[in-house]
Amino acid sequence: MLGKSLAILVVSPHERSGTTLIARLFADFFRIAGQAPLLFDTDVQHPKFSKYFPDAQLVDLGTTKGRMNLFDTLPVRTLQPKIVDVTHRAYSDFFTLVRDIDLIAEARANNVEPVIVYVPHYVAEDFERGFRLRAYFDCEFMLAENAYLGPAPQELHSVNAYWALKAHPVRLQLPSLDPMALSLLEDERVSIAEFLMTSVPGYQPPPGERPPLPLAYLSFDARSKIRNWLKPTLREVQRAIHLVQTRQETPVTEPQPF
Amino acid sequence: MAKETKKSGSSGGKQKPAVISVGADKGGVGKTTVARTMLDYFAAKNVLTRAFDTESPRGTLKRFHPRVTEVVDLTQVADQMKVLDTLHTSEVKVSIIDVRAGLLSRTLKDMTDIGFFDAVENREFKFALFHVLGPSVASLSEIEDVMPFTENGEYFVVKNHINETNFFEWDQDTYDRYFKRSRRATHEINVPKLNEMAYEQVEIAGVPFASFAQNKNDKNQKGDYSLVLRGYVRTWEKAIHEQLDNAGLMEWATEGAQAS
Repeated sequence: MLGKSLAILVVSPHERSGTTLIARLFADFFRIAGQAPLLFDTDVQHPKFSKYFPDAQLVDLGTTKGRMNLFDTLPVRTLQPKIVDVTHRAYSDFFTLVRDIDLIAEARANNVEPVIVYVPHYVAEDFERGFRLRAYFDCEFMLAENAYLGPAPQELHSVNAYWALKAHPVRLQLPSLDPMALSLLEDERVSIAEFLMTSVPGYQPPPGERPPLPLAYLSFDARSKIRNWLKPTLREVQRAIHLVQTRQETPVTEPQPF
Repeated sequence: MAKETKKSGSSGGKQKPAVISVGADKGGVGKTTVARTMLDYFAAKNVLTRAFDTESPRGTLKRFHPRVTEVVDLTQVADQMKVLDTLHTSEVKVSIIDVRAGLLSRTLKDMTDIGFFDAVENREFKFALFHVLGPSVASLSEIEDVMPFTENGEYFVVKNHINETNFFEWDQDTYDRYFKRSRRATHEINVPKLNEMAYEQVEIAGVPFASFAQNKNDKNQKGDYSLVLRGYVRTWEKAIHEQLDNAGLMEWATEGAQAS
């Protein structure tokens, strides 16, 4: 019998929040650990997530067929985790549908635990939205704070929802990465998992093979910066995932020495 | 006729038989769909209900609710007896009649001829008409024809948004005028549009909307229906049932049941 598995929904009400990067980190974390997550990209206008992972399914949430492709698969009992990069354009429709079809109950009935990974901007409205989201959907919730979005302004300190979410037990803190390194990491040809494996000093491609493209044009300095950001970030992802897996009594993914 | 729902306190005793006619003089406005949602509504409330499908001999309603539905031809005396003579004797106190397209006015006249509306006036039975209107001006004139039959009963005007058309191109003043002529309250039920793919899949499955939403097949076993489509159906039917609740249909149909 299959154990419980996770369906990770990475969401933000705004664009440029880092949902795709976070979804990538989750996907690569599981891949590095030897799992084969099922991946979904919901941005048909400007698909990004599926560019990094050619096996990711691009689903159009504007059509019934697209909705069926995603929501009929998410609650299916599998050994592998599922990761969805939810575009900000579909944010409201996505949760309306999750509510209307009672995805959480259906998933649970099939031993799948949905995890909402919520990435707010530092504005009161986003924290209030996240607070309502957490209260409404009785499933795992993870607050993802992306340092790229800057520090929380002082006025946010008077917002109850801000403190309520900050006190949430499952959080993911994404450290900042300098813009140049970030733009290199955003290159669709760069695979995080492959980068980690091949960018170690002294790495030599197998005989007869050329080095993967990213390494061919990244400077030593850039490689070093990305590695120094990736390792603690993946440790943070691993910590957050393990916390959820422990809370949900889900089989724990093999720890990796990042 | 077998019963679809669990037996509840709503049968027998002082509860008066309630007859609910669902009809329209125009075809293709979704009468049977409305009747199906009402059968689901009463089933969800554990109220025993029987249904008569007048689409003889085909019987669309019977296809979806075979255990509680009988196909009858209301133009035939024998079938009129089958429906009306059993109102008092049946332990099922709520009867839904899905009136065949184009026969609403005639059926109501026939029911007048056999004294049904006199019995309603004498409070032997309760009567409600769910008049399903299409999105055309022609539907308005039907209101004037059928409303007099509901003087001692309840009149529900049902706007069925079966497609994307802007429902009432009607002039609202004209619409209101029809109801102002009658001083009694009229209930309005708006049936939202159901996703086409969901509707189609329920048709193929041949089960009640509620069963589809609960992922049950025609043998009451676990079905294999899409979660998304089930969600559409569940949400859609919930919206209708909320309106029926707000209109007080449940209280009206089961009035007196508590005393029994």
